[in-house]
Amino acid sequence: MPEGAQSLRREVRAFLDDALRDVPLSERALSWDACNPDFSRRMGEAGFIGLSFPVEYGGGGRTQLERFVVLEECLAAGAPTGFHWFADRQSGPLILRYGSEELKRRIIPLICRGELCFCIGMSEPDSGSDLASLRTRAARTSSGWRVNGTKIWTTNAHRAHYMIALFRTGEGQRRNEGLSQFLVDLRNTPGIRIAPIRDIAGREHFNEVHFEDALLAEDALIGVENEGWAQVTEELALERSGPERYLSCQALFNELLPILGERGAGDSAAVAVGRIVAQLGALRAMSLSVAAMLEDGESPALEAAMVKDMGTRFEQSLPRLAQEIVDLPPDGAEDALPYQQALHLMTVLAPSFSLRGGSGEILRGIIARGLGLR
Amino acid sequence: MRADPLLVETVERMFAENLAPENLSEAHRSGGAGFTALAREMGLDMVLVPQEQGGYGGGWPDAFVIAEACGRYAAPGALPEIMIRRWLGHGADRAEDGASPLPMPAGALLRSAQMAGAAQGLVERTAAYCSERRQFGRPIAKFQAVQQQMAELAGYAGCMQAASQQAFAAVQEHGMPESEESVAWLAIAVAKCRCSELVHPVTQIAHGVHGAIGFTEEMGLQYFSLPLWRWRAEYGRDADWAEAVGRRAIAAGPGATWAALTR
Ligand SMILES: Cc1cc2nc3c(=O)[nH]c(=O)nc-3n(C[C@H](O)[C@H](O)[C@H](O)COP(=O)(O)OP(=O)(O)OC[C@H]3O[C@@H](n4cnc5c(N)ncnc54)[C@H](O)[C@@H]3O)c2cc1C
Repeated sequence: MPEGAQSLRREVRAFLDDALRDVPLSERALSWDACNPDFSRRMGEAGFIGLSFPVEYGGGGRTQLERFVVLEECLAAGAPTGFHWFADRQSGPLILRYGSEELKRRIIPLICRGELCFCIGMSEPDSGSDLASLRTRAARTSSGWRVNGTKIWTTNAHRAHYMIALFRTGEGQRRNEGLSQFLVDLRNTPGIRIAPIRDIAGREHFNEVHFEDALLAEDALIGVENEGWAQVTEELALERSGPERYLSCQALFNELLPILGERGAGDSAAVAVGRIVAQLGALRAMSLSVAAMLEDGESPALEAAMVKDMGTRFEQSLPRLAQEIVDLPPDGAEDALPYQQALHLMTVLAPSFSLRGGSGEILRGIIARGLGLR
Repeated sequence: MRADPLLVETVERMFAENLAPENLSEAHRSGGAGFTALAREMGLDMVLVPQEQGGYGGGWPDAFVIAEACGRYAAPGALPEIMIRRWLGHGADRAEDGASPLPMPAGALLRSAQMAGAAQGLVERTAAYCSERRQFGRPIAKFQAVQQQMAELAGYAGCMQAASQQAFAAVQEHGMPESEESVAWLAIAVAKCRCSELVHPVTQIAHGVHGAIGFTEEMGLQYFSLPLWRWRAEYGRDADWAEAVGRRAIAAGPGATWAALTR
């Protein structure tokens, strides 16, 4: 890695050492799933959000590789980055690419300061994997758009300032025609109702978002009318290729090693740990090569799908592997060993890893298309 | 440092001309003498030798290009080994001695690139075959179950490619490791462990999708799968590398292990 990236790494580590001192394991284990607005503001002040955005909009003007370094250090340390994660990863880049000059000047600096939370409104009750079948409609009015329909599984909608939403605006010959992306101001738009959904662990992070004659201004449209599908495809390359697709269970790994250090490890435990480290190293190499392609201005949808499919399978295997290596059950009680608490959290979270951002079957379909088989 | 684009182009052209699928069995029957002689005439064995010593003056990313292509095109002969022996400073005679093993961990590094290449070769062969072979009235590539397996196969090959390439880049940046403490050691361990570990899933899918024809000598899958099954065990099995990596990780703890992965 270039020296510039490695010196940035040292800066981020020093920052995280300090900023995470009082963050409890339960929050660190959730990592990019945990929202902590104060922490996000500190990240913004330190200049670690919007790192690769242009300087003129408040960004860091640095490379994708340098951004990658910041992300992976945050994930490895279990930084609660959820509040700004989507904005930094995909909504900011989307606005920079397709937004008006006025919008960029208004929104991007706030994203970089860690003050804005975004959510992604794609899925609907009847449109999950088959996203192109979505029905929430934005109809033209004399002064803008009228929206009716329901989004679901929208992570952070209840905390977010904005949603980047995909709505139907027209009909085309193919189902993925006639879709458009919008910037929805969730806090200042009448006709939007947000209802939280509890997950299997009792947490409330995703939501149902109802649009009932919600009126949006003309300029809420992002990019080109009816070309939303192509924009979303680009966005998903960003959403699927990052280090969060194999580091979601890092807190568990971080607790596993010390336990083995204390209790001693036999040959088979050493082999199993080595295989985990090797998978981590290889997935990181794949993800880094996608970051390099993004830096070169490419849109590597196929490679991104590979990272996510293989990465999430790895993440999902960790709770099982850990239990083969150490004979301690998952235990969520506060007085349990930190390792057991992390194991409990990860066991419960793991089923969602391969679903959020597109299921494995769908990703492998994208890869097969890239191979020319579909 | 990236590989020299001119070298990439030269290698692709020369390999495609001489190792087309229909010529493979002929190329292998002669023990690969013809191909190796041609490659040496072009100086491909001298890629790691400095220009002052009559070499090409390239780096490890260039060596990856050649070793990977040898795997991907199922090149006969021992061009990759000769290339490493040349780097070790051996003269023409000793460099051709195929019997003696390479030093560790250079041998493991080399095998990772050959395995990544052979896996990619199987992806290409299998994708082409399943688009042609028809059953139930359509190409078997149109069945989702086949597509899912092909995607898995391509993902494994992509993983092998990335891990091996990263190891070659690490050796370029930090030098060939002299001990487990050396910076590039872990990158080589990751590459050899992952590539070896993925050999069986890769060959299983490639042969499976081919059906019985893939089991025939005529089809030629053995030019990829036989070396893969051999290479996975040479210069350390995946379990051997994993054990060494695991012991170090447990002794060092999570912080130091992460630091070693990201140097
Ligand atoms: C924790 C979490 C957070 C999320 N956050 C968001 C968010 O912020 N914004 C958002 O828009 N969405 C979000 N989602 C939704 C996510 O994108 C969907 O869950 C995903 O796209 C799958 O859709 P589905 O759940 O409706 O499953 P379905 O599409 O009903 O799929 C169910 C099963 O059928 C399989 N399947 C479906 N179609 C096919 C096919 N053609 N071939 C083979 N198999 C098939 C799937 O692979 C899956 O195994 C989130 C989901 C989770 C779990």
